[in-house]
Amino acid sequence: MSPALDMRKGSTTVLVLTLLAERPMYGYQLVKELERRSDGYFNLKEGTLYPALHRLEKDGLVRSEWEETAQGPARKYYYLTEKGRQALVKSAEEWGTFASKLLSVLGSVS
Amino acid sequence: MQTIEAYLEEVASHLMTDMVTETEILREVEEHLVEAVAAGRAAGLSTEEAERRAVAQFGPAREIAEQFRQVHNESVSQAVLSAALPVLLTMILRSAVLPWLHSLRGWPTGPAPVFFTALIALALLVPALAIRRWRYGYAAWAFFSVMAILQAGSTP
Repeated sequence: MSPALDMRKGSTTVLVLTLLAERPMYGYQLVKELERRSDGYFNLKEGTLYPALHRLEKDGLVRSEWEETAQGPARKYYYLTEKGRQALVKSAEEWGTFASKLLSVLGSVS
Repeated sequence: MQTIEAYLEEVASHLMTDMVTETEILREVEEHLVEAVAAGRAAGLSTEEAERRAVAQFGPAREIAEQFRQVHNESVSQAVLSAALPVLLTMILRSAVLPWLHSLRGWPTGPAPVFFTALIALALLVPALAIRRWRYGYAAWAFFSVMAILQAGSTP
């Protein structure tokens, strides 16, 4: 697996939590939103998002609710929980530190 | 929707969770694929092409199912317990329930109560099926069930 892909996989949690902090979304919506905002950089195999969401739900960071639609199948919306909100703040901080430290080390490479 | 159905079936075959969880997962996956197909068709693809692309972008069925399994099937101890449930139930049946029944009506020992016991044991085993279908769950369940019935059939 390429390093870039590895890095991207590790960031799925914080990316998902960030989007859900704005508003509840369902899986397909999350995938497309992620793609859109990153200009296609974050486009993992779409199916991998769902086990990740289920994991987040098991850990209490998100909760889900089925919603019927006017036409088409029902959608499972995910909502950020309070625990998820706190985890997001912590995670975003950690990623910020990680990124700046990494870049400062890289900066010292000619 | 043949490609989608085949894909869902493949995911289902590798999920190894209980029916409730499986149904919920498949429902969510299907909804995603339906929307992906609609988007593909809106972009000008034929239904067949849209389905193939949706499935390809979703990821290999087996791999995705494996990831779901890791999330939903964590507790090995729980799986072992559900496989051992039959023998536990039958032991309770034999050591507690049967003697009590005997004391109530003075049942004659012989084939009839044994057969009756086996039937009760089987009836109690059915719920065990509802519990997580661990990878070796069925084999373990069958093994313990046979042991349980043999136990029940032997003279106390």
